[in-house]
Amino acid sequence: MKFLKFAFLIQMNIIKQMDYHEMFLLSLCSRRTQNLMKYLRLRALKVQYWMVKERTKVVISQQDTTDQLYMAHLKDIPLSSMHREVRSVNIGGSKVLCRVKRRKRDSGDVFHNLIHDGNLFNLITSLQNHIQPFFHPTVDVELQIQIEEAEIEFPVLQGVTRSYLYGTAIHTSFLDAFYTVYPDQHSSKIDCRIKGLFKPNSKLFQIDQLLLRFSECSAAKVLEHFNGSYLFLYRADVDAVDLTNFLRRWKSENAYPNLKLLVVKKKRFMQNSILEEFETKPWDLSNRPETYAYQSKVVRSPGSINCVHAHEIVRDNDAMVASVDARVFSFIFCVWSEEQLKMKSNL
Amino acid sequence: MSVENAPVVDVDEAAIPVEKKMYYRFESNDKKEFRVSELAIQQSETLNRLVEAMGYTSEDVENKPAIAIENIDGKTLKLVFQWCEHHKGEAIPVDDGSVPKIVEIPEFDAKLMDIDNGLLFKLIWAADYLNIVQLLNVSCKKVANMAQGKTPAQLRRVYLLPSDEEDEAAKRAAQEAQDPRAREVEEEFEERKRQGGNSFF
Repeated sequence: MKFLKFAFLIQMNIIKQMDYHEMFLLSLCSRRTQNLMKYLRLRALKVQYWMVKERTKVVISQQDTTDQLYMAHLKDIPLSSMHREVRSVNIGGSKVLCRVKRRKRDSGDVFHNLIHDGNLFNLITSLQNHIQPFFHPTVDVELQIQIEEAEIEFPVLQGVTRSYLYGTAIHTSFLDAFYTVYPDQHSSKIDCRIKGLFKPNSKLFQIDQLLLRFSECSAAKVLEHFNGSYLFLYRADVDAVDLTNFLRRWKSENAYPNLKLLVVKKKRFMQNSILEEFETKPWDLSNRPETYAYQSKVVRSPGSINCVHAHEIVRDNDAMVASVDARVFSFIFCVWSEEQLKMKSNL
Repeated sequence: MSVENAPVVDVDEAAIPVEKKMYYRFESNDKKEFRVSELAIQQSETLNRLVEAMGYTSEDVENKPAIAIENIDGKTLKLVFQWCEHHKGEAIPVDDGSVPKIVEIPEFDAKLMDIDNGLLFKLIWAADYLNIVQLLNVSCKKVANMAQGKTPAQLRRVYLLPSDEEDEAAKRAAQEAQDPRAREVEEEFEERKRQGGNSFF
């Protein structure tokens, strides 16, 4: 079948009926097929670059579905140049020696692993140069890295707007460097223990939506300096003083101008000692909505928080309303916009 | 309905359909004539507009010459009209822009397209030219399916894709064919370089 003899729109129709992995493999055939891909302008929720030890995967998440579709699989292992299957492939303008290995998933789907022994970080940069033009420029780029404790390096990609770091433990020096290289992220999840202390000017505090699964002794520092809108601190090692200070600074508008939601979990708090210095009243369901609805990129969305047991607190200058639910194991603070408060009357 | 029983007929080998609907006559570039129902024609945006513009009556259809489709041969056009008759009355799909595009190939279409690659190539061109959206989708799907489970090397063979080197060579050959002097200049330049000259001009 002389594919390139078809008119451009027919070529596009054919390619658009392929899955992402087939599109990627076709793009490796020649410069002409690679160039065709930039006209696809694929729309997706995000393009994820996963780095798991010697493996690199590119996974596409689409809108309106939780499905994750594989686009590319690369594995970094020594190659023998004597191996007759080894071929030079053009990935993002770089010539990479690799061989293609056929693999089968449990589902029965066939995919191909590109086995290479080039520099992994250079390769992932080339891979992004190769793949990103397939997509519409507004598509989010997420970097997921499985971190080893002694990890000090990470790849440099363009336009990273989300990150997910996981593993056993991570040092704050790595995080400081990571968020300095990727300052434009709107969301980040850290799913491993954190060692060391954050600097007060760490770029981490500027991330708009942040989730720390093991915030532990970093929690107080993050809570003090956070400047974004959604903060989730799990297994947090904070005490009543930290939370009282938080409320005091929010109420007086000395900090947290963008905050919409704070969720702190897994530490014993004394409810009375946190709220007693503030003027609060029980959340009145006769004129306030029962649940706080939110959209966040770091937790499953849309989310909702039941405020039946919350208290209402009002900011001094602008009368901004927040609900605060301080319990033994959790502290949930929701800032309500005018529109959210009006939801009650619309129900 | 099987592919064989689809109601598209060559004029010289079948009876005139009994339905009291208007059947238009079309002629391929190799002078094969076909009668196609008005409803089937609606699957083709191009033909539908054409017959609307012509405003033929039942008498016109019989008395005037068949409408010539000059760039499609009879073998291909027969497949096209068989497809249109089988799918007549069905809604024309609207592209919602989603990718990967989900297209199922119905059993009838799969049998219809059980043809060699050369004819499939012509069928796709015809579907595109006649703007038959769903036929174009299913025929493109058949070509897309050829990529399943293939390595880049296998894809090159399936889709007859030239390598970068072959593309370069073809480009050079095309340039030379356009300007024979270019090759002479290049050879002269190479010769001077070999002789140690540091300036060409």
